[in-house]
Amino acid sequence: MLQEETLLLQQLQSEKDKNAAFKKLISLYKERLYWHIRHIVKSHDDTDDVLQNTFIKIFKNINSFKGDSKLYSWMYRVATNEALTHIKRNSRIKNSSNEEVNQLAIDSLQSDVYFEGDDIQLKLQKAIATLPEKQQLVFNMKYFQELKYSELSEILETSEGALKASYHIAAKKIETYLKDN
Amino acid sequence: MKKKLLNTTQASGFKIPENYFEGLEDKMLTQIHLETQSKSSGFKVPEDYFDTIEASVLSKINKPEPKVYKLFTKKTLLSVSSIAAVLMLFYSLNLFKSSPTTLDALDTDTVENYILDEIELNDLNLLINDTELSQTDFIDYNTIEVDDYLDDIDLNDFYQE
Repeated sequence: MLQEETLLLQQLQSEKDKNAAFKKLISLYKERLYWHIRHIVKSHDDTDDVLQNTFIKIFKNINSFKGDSKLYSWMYRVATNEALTHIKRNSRIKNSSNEEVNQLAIDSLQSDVYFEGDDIQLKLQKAIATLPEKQQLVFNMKYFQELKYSELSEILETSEGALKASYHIAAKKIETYLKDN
Repeated sequence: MKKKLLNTTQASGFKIPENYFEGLEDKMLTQIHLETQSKSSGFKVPEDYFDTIEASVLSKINKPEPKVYKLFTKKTLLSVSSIAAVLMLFYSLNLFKSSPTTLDALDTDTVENYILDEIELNDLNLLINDTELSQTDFIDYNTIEVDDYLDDIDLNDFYQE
């Protein structure tokens, strides 16, 4: 891990410096984590909920982080899990599948005040929603968030080769969807 | 002239992944097609959202946790199980069963056994009003059965050969 990150982690795990260090952590990662979550749950309000829960979870569990991966990889993983759990919880409440909940979220994007996408962007979201969960993650993180494959590999705990294959399959499917619709 | 191969291992020492060039055109074209359509997601964030998020999160983590009262503490479990044990004891001792109110409710065997076990012969004397008892007093006459018997008798059976 980088020296900076090591230092930050030390501060986060010390009673004395914890709060100040945590404030710094939030300001460093809030935007990246926000967009990562937003691409999964689609709406701003849901993202706000999940993002705050993510930071709270990170704060509560920081002492059990062993440093066996990069701090931000771990944080991304917490964010991913929180976002996916949020969708699962919604689907249980609404007694529908995860796909149906996702579909509903996309259908309401058009009237969402925090979506200023045009037709093509809406179609793109619909295309992404047709992909299996993991491919959606990989595509969103690579295409929109422009994370490196090495970073993706650490976060998703999958080999770079598998991720590259997954990404290209996803991209191809989306291209076909856009052509056909 | 000798034809020089581009980028051979021998020349530069650089290697490439297997099958790298295959499908590369296809992948590049797909990527270009997508990016020309839209590189951005269309998602928007409320103004000043990121300025306020820190304060929101920090206020939540510094909030004292609401007191949690355990429903099933060891103490309550112990008292509930001891009450249950006492109830079980009462039940097995038939303290909850209402005793039979009439003598008719008891079966003959129970009464007989009671008499045999509990009552002395002298006590029985007190219950019987007749001063003299004979054997015949205890014979249970069923007149229908007697009639049938008489009908069935073949007088010849009584004659000895």
